[in-house]
Amino acid sequence: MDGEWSATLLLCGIYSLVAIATQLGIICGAFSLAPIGWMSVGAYAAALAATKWQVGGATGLAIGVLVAVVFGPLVMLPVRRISGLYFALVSLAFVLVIQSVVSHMDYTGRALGIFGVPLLTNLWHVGIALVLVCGVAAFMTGGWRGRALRAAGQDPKVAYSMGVNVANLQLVVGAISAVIGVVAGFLYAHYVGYVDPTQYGFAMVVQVITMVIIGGRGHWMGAIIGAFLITSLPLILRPLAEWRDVVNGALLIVVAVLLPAGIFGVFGLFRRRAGPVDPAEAKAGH
Amino acid sequence: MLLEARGLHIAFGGVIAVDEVSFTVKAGEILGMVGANGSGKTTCLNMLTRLIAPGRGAMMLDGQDYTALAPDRLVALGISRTFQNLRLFKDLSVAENVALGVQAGMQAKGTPRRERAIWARVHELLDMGGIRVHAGVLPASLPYGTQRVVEIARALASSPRLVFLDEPFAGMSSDEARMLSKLLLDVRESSGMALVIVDHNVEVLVSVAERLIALAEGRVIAEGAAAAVLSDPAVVRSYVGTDV
Amino acid sequence: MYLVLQQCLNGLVLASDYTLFALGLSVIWGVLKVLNLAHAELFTAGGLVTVMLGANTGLPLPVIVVIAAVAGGLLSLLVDTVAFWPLRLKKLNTEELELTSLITSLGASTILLSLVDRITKHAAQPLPPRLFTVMTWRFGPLILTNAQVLVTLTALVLTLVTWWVVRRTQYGRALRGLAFSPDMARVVGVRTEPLFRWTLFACGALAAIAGLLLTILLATMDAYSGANLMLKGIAIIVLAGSGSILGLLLGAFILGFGETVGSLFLPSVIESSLPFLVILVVLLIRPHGLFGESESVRT
Ligand SMILES: Nc1ncnc2c1ncn2[C@@H]1O[C@H](COP(=O)(O)OP(=O)(O)OP(=O)(O)O)[C@@H](O)[C@H]1O
Ligand SMILES: [Mg+2]
Repeated sequence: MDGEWSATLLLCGIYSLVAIATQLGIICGAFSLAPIGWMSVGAYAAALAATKWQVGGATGLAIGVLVAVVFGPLVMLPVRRISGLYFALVSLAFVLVIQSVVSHMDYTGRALGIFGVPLLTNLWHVGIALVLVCGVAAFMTGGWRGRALRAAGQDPKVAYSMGVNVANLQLVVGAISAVIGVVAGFLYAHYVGYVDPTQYGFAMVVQVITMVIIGGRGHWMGAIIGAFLITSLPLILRPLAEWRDVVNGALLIVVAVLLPAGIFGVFGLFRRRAGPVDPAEAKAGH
Repeated sequence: MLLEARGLHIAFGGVIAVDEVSFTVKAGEILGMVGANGSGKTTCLNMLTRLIAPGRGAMMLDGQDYTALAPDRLVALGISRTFQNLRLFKDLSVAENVALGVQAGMQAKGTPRRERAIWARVHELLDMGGIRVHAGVLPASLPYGTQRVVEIARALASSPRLVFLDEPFAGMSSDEARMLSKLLLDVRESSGMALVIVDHNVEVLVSVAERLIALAEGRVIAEGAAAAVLSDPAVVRSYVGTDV
Repeated sequence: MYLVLQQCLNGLVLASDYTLFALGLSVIWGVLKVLNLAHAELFTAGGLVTVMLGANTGLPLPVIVVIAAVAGGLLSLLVDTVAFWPLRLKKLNTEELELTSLITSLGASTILLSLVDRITKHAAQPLPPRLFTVMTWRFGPLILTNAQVLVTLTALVLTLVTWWVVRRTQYGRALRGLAFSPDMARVVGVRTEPLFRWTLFACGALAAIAGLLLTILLATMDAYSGANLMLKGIAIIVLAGSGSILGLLLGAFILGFGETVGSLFLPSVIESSLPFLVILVVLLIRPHGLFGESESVRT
């Protein structure tokens, strides 16, 4: 495969991971940008494991995942009191505080970051991670679990009265999306070979929001569509490459105004919402 | 006694919304609740379904005190409700809304929540309410009365023992109201669940409820057979007093 | 000690400019329920107009101020037409409007930022020296420049004018009604759309003037002048809650002094994450801001 294309494909995969993590939060009513912060945690875990701790990559990943499982729910906690835009701002502040901390600590190499992360990530790793994460997302958003999750996101109070433990569900999603974020950051660091604070700041937040909104809010497949589209756009529209941000911005506006459910929403119209139809009835219909 | 409310009380700021309300509901009974606007009916239901915590008082179901239980645990006890201003999940289809009720009931009973079983029950309920044709659409695209039926189907879906209905007849044509009251009576007949119905439409309410309870300014002012409650001077005064 | 005093002075100047930046942002948030991320680029546009007209024409500074303000206002209207007006037509509820308009304003901001970045050729643009001659006054060891005085006084005057307009005029009364409930305002006969437009124009003009002032203060600007301030602006209005100019001042001073005086005492990591810490702490403790009134809970 052409090197540029395979590189793009790999990035598409990594971005899909963060976008799915963000999407899961959105589905359960928490517009959280924290996954970008978790990505940074994963990337620094990879870099520190390789350069400072002198342990294998797997150990670094395990440490990152452990941190995510413990603190992921914690970052989700405020959603009980603060919702909508305000919660998004809190999670944004979390991302930027992490960025600020790593860019001021000697241990994390300050603004320069850490170089010398071994280049290990290949398409296979990303592919396997993406399949696993899709599996988790499908599991979480399918069947009774998915209905409960979406109900919690749309009207927590009524969801409670329908027997859904909204708070617990959101904490679980907090942990899951944090772990996904860590994995994405870990893969990214081992792909580019270094970490620095600018990688996981406001620009990345904008990038991920763009993917989720354009792909389609409310379904993990929307996140993947958005991630692939936005990541490969410069490659597809090479003449427009230097207008990338303008194109992204215009897409954001157009989609938010005209297609609130994003590109996936266009297909979403065909989603089966009525439940499986029994065969006898299907025959009668024809 | 299925439900026993003892001395429920709550104040918002300085306003006492519900003041020492006590009443009981027998298994399989239909209790109507009336009262002028702002008399505390909805607030009562909100406490009885634990959406808000009572300031004082206790609530028991079958002798079990559930005053301190979390709202999501009430389905397991067999309590469900509808809302005064429709609260359907707007991005879930009619069938999915009802499925939420079905799966809650299955969870309560400990039966595995398999999609096939859930949908079979959903379709049964949709047929019962005559809304099967709307299964796949979003609730917002339906007329108001139909949405009410969907919400009631969702509340009945968990096979509860006690259902609270907040103004189910509001905004319905008299035909729709008659059909709904027949539906409710049928359901009670077949499953033996008790209903507490709040409504301003006294005529329809009396046609389904065996007993009435009247509230005014957060207090119970009359209780008993429909005719007696409606002719009670205090009740007449509370209605006339607010209407003029 | 003199250092502390000097930094207090610098903090005051910074805080003034932050106030001016946050003023328009806050009004738009209160009235339109929109967190306008493109506000940053209106600010930047003010600086851009200043350096470009300064370099390519012989216009005097006061004329340039007027042109920058009008340009900022018009740009603000353009952003509105593309990003907010279509959403107003859709009559979304507040929460949907807040999130959707955040997205559209992010789009507008991304476009404008990238355009300004191209115009400035990805480099900082110096303020042409002919526009402003810096004079320095010394009070013992303290140093004060005429640029600092200009920034502080202009910000003070414009803040007072805004306060007066919002609190004391017919227009302000209509505006506050609009912030409370557009439907209610419409019922009592307020023509909402022109009011929205004028407000957007005024806030754009304020942003552009703030951008111009910062360009004079620093004698340079680049495409990110405004974007760098955005998070501070958000921190300030979060702290202030909706519609409190006093809260706005307090927020601006906390950030301004944090950056100047704070840099003497605080570890650099705290100092540089101050805006985010403010957002975190305030929202976690008092979700409606220190000065905002909490909305009543809907059942
Ligand atoms: N969350 C709340 N905060 C403050 N006051 C409240 C709240 N909920 C209810 N109230 C007040 O409590 C009183 C009772 O309200 P409630 O909604 O229970 O009346 P209701 O009998 O259901 O009236 P309606 O027939 O209009 O539905 C009213 O005065 C209302 O304003
Ligand atoms: Mg009521």
